[in-house]
Amino acid sequence: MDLKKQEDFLNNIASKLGRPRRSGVEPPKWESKPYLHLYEGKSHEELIEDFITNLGQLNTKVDRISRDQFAASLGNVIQDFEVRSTVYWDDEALDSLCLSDVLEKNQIDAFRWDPNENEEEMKQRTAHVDLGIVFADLGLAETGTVVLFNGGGRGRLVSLLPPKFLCILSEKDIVPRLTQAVQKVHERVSEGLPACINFITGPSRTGDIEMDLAFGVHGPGKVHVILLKDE
Amino acid sequence: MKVSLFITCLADVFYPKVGMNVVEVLRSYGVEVDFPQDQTCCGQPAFNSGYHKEARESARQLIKAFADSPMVVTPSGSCASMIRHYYPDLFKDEPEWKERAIELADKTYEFSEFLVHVLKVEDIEAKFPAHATYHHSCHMSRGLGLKGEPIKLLGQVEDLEMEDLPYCNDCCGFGGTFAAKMSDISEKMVDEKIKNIETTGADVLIGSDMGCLMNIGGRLRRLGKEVRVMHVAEVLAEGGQK
Amino acid sequence: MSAHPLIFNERVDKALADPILKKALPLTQDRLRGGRINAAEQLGNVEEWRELASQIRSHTIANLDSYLEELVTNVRKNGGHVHFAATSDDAVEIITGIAKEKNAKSVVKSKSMVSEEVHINKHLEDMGIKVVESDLGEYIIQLANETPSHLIAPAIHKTREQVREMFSKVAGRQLSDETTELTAFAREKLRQEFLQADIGISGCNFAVAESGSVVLVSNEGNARLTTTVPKVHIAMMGMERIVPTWNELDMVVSMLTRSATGQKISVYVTGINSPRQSEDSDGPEEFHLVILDNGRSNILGTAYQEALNCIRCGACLNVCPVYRHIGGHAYGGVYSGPIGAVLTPLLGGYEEWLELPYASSLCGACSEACPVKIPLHDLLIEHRKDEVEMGLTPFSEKMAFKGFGFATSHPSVYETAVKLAHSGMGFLAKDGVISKGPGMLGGWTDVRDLPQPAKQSFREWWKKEGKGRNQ
Repeated sequence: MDLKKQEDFLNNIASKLGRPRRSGVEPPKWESKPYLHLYEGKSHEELIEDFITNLGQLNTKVDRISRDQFAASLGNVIQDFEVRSTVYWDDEALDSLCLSDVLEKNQIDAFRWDPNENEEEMKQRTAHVDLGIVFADLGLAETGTVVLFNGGGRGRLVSLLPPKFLCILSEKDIVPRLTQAVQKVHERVSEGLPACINFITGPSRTGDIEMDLAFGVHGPGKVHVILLKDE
Repeated sequence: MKVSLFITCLADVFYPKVGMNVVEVLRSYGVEVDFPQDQTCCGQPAFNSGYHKEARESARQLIKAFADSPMVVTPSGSCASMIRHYYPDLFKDEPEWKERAIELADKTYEFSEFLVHVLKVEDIEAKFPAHATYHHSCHMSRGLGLKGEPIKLLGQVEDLEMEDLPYCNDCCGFGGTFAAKMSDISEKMVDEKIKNIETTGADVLIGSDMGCLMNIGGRLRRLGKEVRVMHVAEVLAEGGQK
Repeated sequence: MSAHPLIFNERVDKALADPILKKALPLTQDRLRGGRINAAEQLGNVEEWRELASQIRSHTIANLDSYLEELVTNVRKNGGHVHFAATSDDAVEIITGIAKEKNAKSVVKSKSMVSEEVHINKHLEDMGIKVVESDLGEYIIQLANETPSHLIAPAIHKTREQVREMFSKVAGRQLSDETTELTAFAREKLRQEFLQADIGISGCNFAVAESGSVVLVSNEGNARLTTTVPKVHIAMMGMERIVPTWNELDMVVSMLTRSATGQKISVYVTGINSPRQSEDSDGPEEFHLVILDNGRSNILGTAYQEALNCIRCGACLNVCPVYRHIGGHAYGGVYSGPIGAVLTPLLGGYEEWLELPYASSLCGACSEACPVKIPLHDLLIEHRKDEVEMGLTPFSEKMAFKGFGFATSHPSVYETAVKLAHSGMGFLAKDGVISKGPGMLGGWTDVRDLPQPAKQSFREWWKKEGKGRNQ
């Protein structure tokens, strides 16, 4: 029944287009690359600077630090954002920064997004903490975007429910723009994508009341990025 | 150089002086002007209203009227745009007429366009002491991509002080039959245009399309406003061009 | 297509008389169009972007059957459910069916114009289900019991005072009119709704055929909440909202956000690729994709096919001088502005939407702004042509243009008409000006004066004086 509906639907499209049904069409190779001039010739250092500048314009501070400065940097974020509780990803990259130790030292009520925990409880807890902490897969220089491949211990709610959001990113993962990011997603299609991929650029915002910009209507209203220098 | 004038129906009937001024300016540059008497209207009123059969009748007549002209100059961005953009398409099912339509399209120029790009006029010697602003008509600026040309000409007129018109890309509300058919919406549009003209403090509004100018001018008059409305050709001619 | 109690002219009159719209519309337009223009200037070569985006959209629509097939094959492979809805009724049946099966008590929605097309809120509410819009603008108009008046800024016709009143009523206490307090209230209130909801219904900015993904673009984050918190996610997609691969997504997303608000990218671009996977502990357990035709396929293969390239950025609304004065509701359909004037008669028929193609001065600002190069004002002329050919225009107008065609193709007749114009209209004129004209002329003179035709036309002058003066 469903399949018949589908066939009717698609056959109708073909007939309206005035040709037989098509299947397996692939897009042509697009010759035009209008975005090239936005980053061509830029060094990685310049891309990093762009990333920082662009986030700065979106009310988002970026700390560019070496790994040994992480504890101090996180301490500042905790102070700035008045953080008393947090949820963070179950992620090796965060572990390698000894995140949980630093949080403990700062007397933060912290918990890990652990897929083995009770789901409803985690959701409720995440909804009530001050800060969510994640480690991003990519950063986009042109827009100041961080890209998160969610899944497993890398819960989507961590970057969504708390009112403040801290994203840690490695400098080497900064690419020029969306073009490179979607190419990476495209390459991963054959091995299967995670259930959700998020591109996040600054704090949640709205202009729905008289075009007056306001932050944090649904997602985090404050965002901070810690950028780890390559070592 | 020889050109034929396409006067346009509006200028023919309502604003013959614009046509005379066009002729005067062209002649001052040594251009020989003729006026094929068989010309009528470009057909845009019918075309824009969806009467394409009738628009084709007008178009055929215009194509015939200018068949022997080496070049055609018209004091209207809108009519020039009609010929250039829509004539070839109007005859997409009639290859022979399509070819003739393209031929006319290729040799038709709006007045300022002709002065700047064909005559390459660099030495306007007119003097017109006034405080003015310019209305960019939609079909001229968007349809033909002509924005800088009239400004360049007017910029050379002595004692003519030009002010930028805020929201200069917004339509004045003419739109041919739109002005009559949706007159209440059109009224709001022309009123906003007039408000913007007034913020410039200009005494003269200059334009390149008598349709827009008839609309804005008619509303100005109705509201009892003193701003004078002129075609570019009128400014150049009245300014004692050469 | 949409239930609108007033006829077109009445809707326009109402809008023109509305002091709130008069203030809000130019303000919103100026912000949004300014943003778009800045974004375009930053790119420098925006025409190349438009060209490529247009090519991508046209290619996709020309091969829509293939890409849709690829999409749904992948959605199923990823564990999602696919539903094809040929009509609005089909979509309602599918969605209410899922709601029934899940025994749903409440639904949260993120902004979806397709859901407006099928009036899904009403149908769900009729079943006793609580439906909450989560986009702040949509929430505001839901409380006001209205429909969106702009594609991306649905509540621009509401003032903060009106919002304050409505929110205070819901809150049961007096809120201030500070934007921060009002949005904070919305956050708190809607967060409760999210955490309780059984089903989340989203739209679909773009589906990606190669991976069976649905991509959602939002600034507030409500689309993420809608597609993460409830156990069931239903995405409603207009059948044309698809790209072949993630690579093409780049171009359309880049153009969408830049054209809509001038942002280089929206705060959240979210790719939903499947229901939650075995190792996940958030995200919906079930994913349903509802693909809606609802009249779209009738546009394929016609002169209007490019209208399906639309990516719903609203740029044409933001530059339209008509929209600037009448706002979205006057158009009467789900889609307003120039794209609405093009699409609505195609989806809903001329009987109901006869006037919409005329709600334009054909200034072309829309076509110039469109990021995928839809020739919007030309399509409005095409509509007018079709209305003429179908005999839907008034008899007097038909006769007038018949006469016009005859006169303009017979120079001697034309010349006589020109000659008689001055004296013929003399009885209407006073001091060379006509202030009150009959018939069609009346529309003109209601608003402005008309000069009396000149005593001597140009062609007469030419014959008498002009000709001889060459050199």
